[in-house]
Amino acid sequence: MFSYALHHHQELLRALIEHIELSVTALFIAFSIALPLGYSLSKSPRLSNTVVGLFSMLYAIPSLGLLALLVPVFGLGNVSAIIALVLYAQFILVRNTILGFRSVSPTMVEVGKGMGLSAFQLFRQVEFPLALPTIIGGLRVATASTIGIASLAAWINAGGLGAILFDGIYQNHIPKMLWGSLLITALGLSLELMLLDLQKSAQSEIHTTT
Amino acid sequence: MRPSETEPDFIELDRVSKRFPGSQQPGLKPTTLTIENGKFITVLGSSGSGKTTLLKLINRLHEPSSGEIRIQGRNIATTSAIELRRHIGYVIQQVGLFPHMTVEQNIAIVPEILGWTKRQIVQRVDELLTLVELSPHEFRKRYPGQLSGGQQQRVGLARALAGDPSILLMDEPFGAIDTLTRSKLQMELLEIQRKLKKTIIFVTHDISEALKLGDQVIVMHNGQVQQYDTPAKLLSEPANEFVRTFLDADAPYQQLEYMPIRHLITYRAEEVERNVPRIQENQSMKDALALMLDSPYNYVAVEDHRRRFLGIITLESLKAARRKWPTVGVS
Amino acid sequence: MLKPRISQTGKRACIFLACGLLFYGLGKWYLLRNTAPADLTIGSKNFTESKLLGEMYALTLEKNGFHVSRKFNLGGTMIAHAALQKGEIDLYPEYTGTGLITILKLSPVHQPDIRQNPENTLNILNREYAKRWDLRWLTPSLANDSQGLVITSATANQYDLHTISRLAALPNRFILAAIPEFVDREDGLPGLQRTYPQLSFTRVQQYDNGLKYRILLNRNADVTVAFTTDGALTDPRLTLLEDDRHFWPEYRIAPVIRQTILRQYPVIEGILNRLSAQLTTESMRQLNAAVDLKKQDYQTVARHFLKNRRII
Repeated sequence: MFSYALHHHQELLRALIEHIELSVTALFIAFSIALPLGYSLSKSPRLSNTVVGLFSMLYAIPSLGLLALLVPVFGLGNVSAIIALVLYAQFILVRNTILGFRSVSPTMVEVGKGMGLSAFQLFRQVEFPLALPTIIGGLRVATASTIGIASLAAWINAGGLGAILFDGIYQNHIPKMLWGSLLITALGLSLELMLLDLQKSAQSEIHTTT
Repeated sequence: MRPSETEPDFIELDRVSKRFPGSQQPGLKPTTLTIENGKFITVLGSSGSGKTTLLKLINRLHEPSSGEIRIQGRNIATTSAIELRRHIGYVIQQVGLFPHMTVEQNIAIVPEILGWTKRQIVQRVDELLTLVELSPHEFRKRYPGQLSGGQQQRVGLARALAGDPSILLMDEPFGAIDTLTRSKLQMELLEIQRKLKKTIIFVTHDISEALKLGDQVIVMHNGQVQQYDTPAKLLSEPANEFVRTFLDADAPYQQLEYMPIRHLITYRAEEVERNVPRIQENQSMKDALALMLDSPYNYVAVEDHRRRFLGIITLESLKAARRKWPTVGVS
Repeated sequence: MLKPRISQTGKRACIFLACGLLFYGLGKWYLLRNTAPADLTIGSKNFTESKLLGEMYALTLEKNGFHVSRKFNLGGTMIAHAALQKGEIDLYPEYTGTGLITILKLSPVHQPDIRQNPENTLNILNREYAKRWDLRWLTPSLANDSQGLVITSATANQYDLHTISRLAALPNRFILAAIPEFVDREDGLPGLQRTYPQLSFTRVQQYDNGLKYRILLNRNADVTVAFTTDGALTDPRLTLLEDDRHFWPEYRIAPVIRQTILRQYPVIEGILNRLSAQLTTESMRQLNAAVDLKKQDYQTVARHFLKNRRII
């Protein structure tokens, strides 16, 4: 078990780095899209339902199926994998972003406007901090799901820890299976803990009394 | 930095109207009126009368469908709405203090945007908290969630005054407060107005509050101004049937009930005897009369909300007020 | 005092970000430091034999001074072929039969001259591959990894079952444990059933290549698909059925390589041909058994083999 890790630490490290690269890139892109999208949609209830509904349909497509659709267009490798991961993450991220901004009481917004805050000042000083805990909550779920689905990237030659895991399954090689799963879990867990801490911190900064 | 306090700053509404097509919100029929600098104007009406619409046209939360609004002679539509609002204080019923900021940070918002230095802002926060009767040392770092309703509204007021605006808009600010605290806050507001001489536009549906606080009252119904006059004139010379019935102007002692005594106080430096009955400055002529009926004195002592002696009101002054009714309260 | 520029949450987020970047940076630096830029990239499909071959190609070329990067575990024939076309890999081990049937889509049934003369196979392969994709098949080895059907020896004894014709003739209902691609490929179930018309199964289940023998031995299926070089076939509990009607053509192992790379490094041809000459069906079975049954890792097995044959 440990001798395997010792001899193949470079392989494991490479797979881990690739997995991180895939997941983090996808999450970063997904979040950059979801934040402004969610904010604008939160101002219009009807439009938000339509868009979220659309993304939920995407989310329902099995991951391998979506990958199979993307490969002929974008080829094997990172591009297709990241596109798939970004699309999956949208459902959760956009929905939670909308929820977060809708949870900001309209009174706050009215008072903010009445005081003469510009749209950007209102966003940064009032709406964003108040919506943040819910948004981070969405990010947590999206991160966990992205790291999981990224394991499938190995199928289309995008690398990652999935390669180690599937190798282990084909060869009935227990250490590989275990190390593959272990590292995926460890990656997911550490990100989850960090985001949980951030969510708690954002929540406590809102100082609502119980 | 701070706007000059000597410039005349009046608000003109010139044939201003507002329509909300396909919406429940009450509109405003074409209205022309002027609000003088330094006056406390109350806007009275029931729900749907258009009183809030009128208020929100002044800080451009609503844009007029027709007509022009001028402040200090300048059409407010020509400058940026955001810039305008930074120089107008805005207080609403739900207060809307930002829960993720301390009292200090809430108050500091507009001054920071206006670019005041940190030292100026800190000083201003202390100044304002003292003004609204909250100890700065105790309340500066508290969060809105830790404050009572009354305390929150005081901070709301301080926040609205932070940028030293000449105009203060208030939309039923004491509506959600309990009666006792409301009374206190009303008196404090009057004292603040005495000190600062802001132009205040105060929307309410409470008749007694409107008449008690306003130098002049705008009575509204169905989006139209019914009468715009001093409280005394409204009661003694109602302009139409609506005003008459709304204020119940004909009831014999209605006027006494609604008329505040503050215009009749003879201010005195020395205290009077202990047995003289005492009333608060925001009570009505009716209360003063009632006290005098049951006492051997034909005057009462008036005190402010801190129970400090202000002066007296005599029966004679009440009788004289009745005789020259419509001019009471006009300076 | 007043509102700080960055909130407390923001500060914590920055700390986490910094830690993450540090970890990532260290890892990346460590990896890059230990990898020289590669001269060529060798791919393999995602089963043991392919990886053994890929590793052997890699080790042999490394011994001859090349820097090799490995991209093993590609998810199937079409994916490997696409990667080769795109230049994501330069070379990978393929089978002549697969090239013909799956990639060029030429059924041997329609090309009788191929069956008669295996040399024609290579000519056709090289002609088409060069024309369409500028690719080249190097000299195939003798090792023939054809396909076949396997049953347990117990079943063989029970029904006196040793050929596929006999299987087709039996009235019993058997369950087939198929492997990926088998149900779709021309050289899989569809073609097989055309040669053996009475062949049918009561149920066909798809399994990964690594699970099929376990399924068979656990009696969860009756028949499974074998590669004739499967290491498991050294187990006496398993019996390979004879393809008495000769449906399956040869699947000889050969490297497929991009002409661009070959033109750049012509020595590669000689090096790999010398290696291919050492591979036989029996030796491949032994190598596969070492990995699949004795659980040694394929890199070690490949290295030992090459050392024994004095290639490295």
